[in-house]
Amino acid sequence: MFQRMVSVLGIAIGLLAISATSTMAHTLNVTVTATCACEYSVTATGNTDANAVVGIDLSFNVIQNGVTYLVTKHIDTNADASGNFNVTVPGNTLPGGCAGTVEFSGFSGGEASLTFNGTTETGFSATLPSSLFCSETVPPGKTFDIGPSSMEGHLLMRPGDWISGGYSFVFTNGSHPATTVTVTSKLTLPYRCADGTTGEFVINLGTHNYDVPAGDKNWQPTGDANSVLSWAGSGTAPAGCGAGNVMDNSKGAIWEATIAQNPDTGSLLNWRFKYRDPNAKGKGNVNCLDLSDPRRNKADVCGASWSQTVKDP
Amino acid sequence: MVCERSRTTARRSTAFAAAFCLLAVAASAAVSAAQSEALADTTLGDTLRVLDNAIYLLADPSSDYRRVMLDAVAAFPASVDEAIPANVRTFLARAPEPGGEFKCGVDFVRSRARNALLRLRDTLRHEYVGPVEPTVCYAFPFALDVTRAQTGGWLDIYGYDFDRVSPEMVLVNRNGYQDVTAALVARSHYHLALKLGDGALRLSSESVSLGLTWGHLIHHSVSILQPTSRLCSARVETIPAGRTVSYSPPRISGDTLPGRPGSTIRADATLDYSSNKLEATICMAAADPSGRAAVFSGCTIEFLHTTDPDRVIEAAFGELTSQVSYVRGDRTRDLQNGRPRGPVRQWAFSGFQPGALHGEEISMTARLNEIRFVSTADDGCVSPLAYLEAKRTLVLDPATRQSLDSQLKGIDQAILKVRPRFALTQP
Repeated sequence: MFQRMVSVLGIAIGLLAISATSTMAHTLNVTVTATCACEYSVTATGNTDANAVVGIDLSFNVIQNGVTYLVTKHIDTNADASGNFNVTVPGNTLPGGCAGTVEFSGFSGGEASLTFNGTTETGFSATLPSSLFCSETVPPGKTFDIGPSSMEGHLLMRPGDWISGGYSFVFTNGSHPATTVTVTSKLTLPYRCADGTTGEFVINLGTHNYDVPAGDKNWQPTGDANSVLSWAGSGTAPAGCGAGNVMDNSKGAIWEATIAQNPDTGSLLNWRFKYRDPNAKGKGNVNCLDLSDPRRNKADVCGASWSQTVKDP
Repeated sequence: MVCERSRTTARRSTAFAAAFCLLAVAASAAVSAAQSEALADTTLGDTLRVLDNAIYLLADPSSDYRRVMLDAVAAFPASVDEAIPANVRTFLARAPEPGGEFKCGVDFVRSRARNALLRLRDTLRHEYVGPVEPTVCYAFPFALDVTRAQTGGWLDIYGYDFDRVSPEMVLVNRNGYQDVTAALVARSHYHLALKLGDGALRLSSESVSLGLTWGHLIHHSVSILQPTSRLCSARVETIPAGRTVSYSPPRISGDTLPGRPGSTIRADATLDYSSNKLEATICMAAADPSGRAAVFSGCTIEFLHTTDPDRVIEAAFGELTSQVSYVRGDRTRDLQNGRPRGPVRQWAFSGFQPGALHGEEISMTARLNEIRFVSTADDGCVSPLAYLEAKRTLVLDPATRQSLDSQLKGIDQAILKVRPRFALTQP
């Protein structure tokens, strides 16, 4: 009897050990690096089942000027015959503009999860970058802003909402030489919380170069408001009023741009901008720059009114 | 006193008394802190109420802005932060007197006064407050006759807060622009002058306009009139009646039921335009006259329309402001009619039902009348409004006049009667 009990116990311990070994074999190591160019890179290595299709979900916070931005990233890859995988995804945009001190923080329950063969394992820690101390110098060129302008009306923005921003410009005379217009810009969105506190956050629209042929009098980069080219950048709204709390935006947005022409044509340009938070309009959380999302093609999802036109000498 | 006496008792009693004293001191500090906080809240609420009242009164074109602002200074609570009334007094000290050396109507100063109070309000509420932007209200001459300009004289530009920026002037030509800031003189914070003669400004047949800039943007243009000038196309545009704008003002003070019977409800909507954008400033307040109940009050700017990006909105027809004020009864929803010539046809107020304990549902919806405005092309041409204003106030070169008059024939008669928004009635 005693022997039978010992053997049953032994089998149970053995099974438990096998199970534990199997679980322990699934590993995920994630390392995030970031630069003051407001980009981050993710490297994920680990081991799952042989030849498994692997999904990795990562989330962490970026803190700038007292505002916390939630960053999420999904990566798909494949494990080899030994179950190993190794993937690097560079060139991801960080929110907030990356001026001054940029801090990174994770979560007590881990920042990453691993999905393969229908199973999701959570609680993996990621190695996040040390704080960045970025220069606040503006790029060369002249700086101006438009707004605040509330073309989108009164918005109730939620943490994680995709907010897209775009602009267009046109030469006012048709006798300018060919030139490249470089635009570095950002959107600032002020908000008020339910408890009366206020703040603002920034969506970095990046730096873009536009080659304009001599004499061209078309709106650049496009005159078609439905084209994805009319959007310059996007980012997710932070948890400015705390996790899950709505940020009340009634002031609209301010678009600040630094522009340079090479060569300088000495010509006047007209400028305008737009922004969109489809989720705040009840249209789903859509990134208007994401071509893989068919919802972005609908005018009521990513259609937005232009601001007033301003003239830049 | 109690604490001193406690020291004379036995050790046990002393310990008890010491504990009691500590507790009393702590409680006293807590009560004092709570009282300070309550006082600060009351002061803020009372200050906002005074500001909101002044903002409402200043929406009325017939209001005397000086009287309204002085009354506001007198009505601020005694515990108000001195910076608030000081700010209002500073505005009054800087505000130019319309007529005489300041060639803009009083509507302009009233509008700036209202904006100053709206900024003050936003500052108190820790809302976003952008940098102060100057505004141009008039230029004399309103358009520059190239023949006369070459003989000398000055171009006078009037506005407000020019000292808050670094104004520059560019001469816009058909193929670009050139900086002529060297000829610009700041006479005061409300008056800039551009020297025209002595070679300060080299005008040619290519000259199109003069652009006053700050912050790397042209904020006001003065057309240059020549015999070869082309009048811009101008048209009357319409936003059909029926458009609605809504607003829910935040709670300013009190924690009682909102808008109970006997409360005063008031609201106003003011149209504003610049560049090719039309917007409305909407304000609403609900307050118990006794001052004991909750006060809901605030303003917001509602975007209404942008016309084509290569056009400029130069005027709007009709009255630009609608106001309403009434004492509410016991209905849960109130309807009030607006005036036919103002921007609002009907006001609807709601959120007064007993269940609205926190008042978030208090709201106002304004149904707008048809809005008609003048838009003009902005492509190196001369606005008909600018030409007519120049013609009204100056003797123009006969050849220029003949050429431009002949182009007026195709312009809508309604547009020909429009004057610049802030022009003095008697130039």
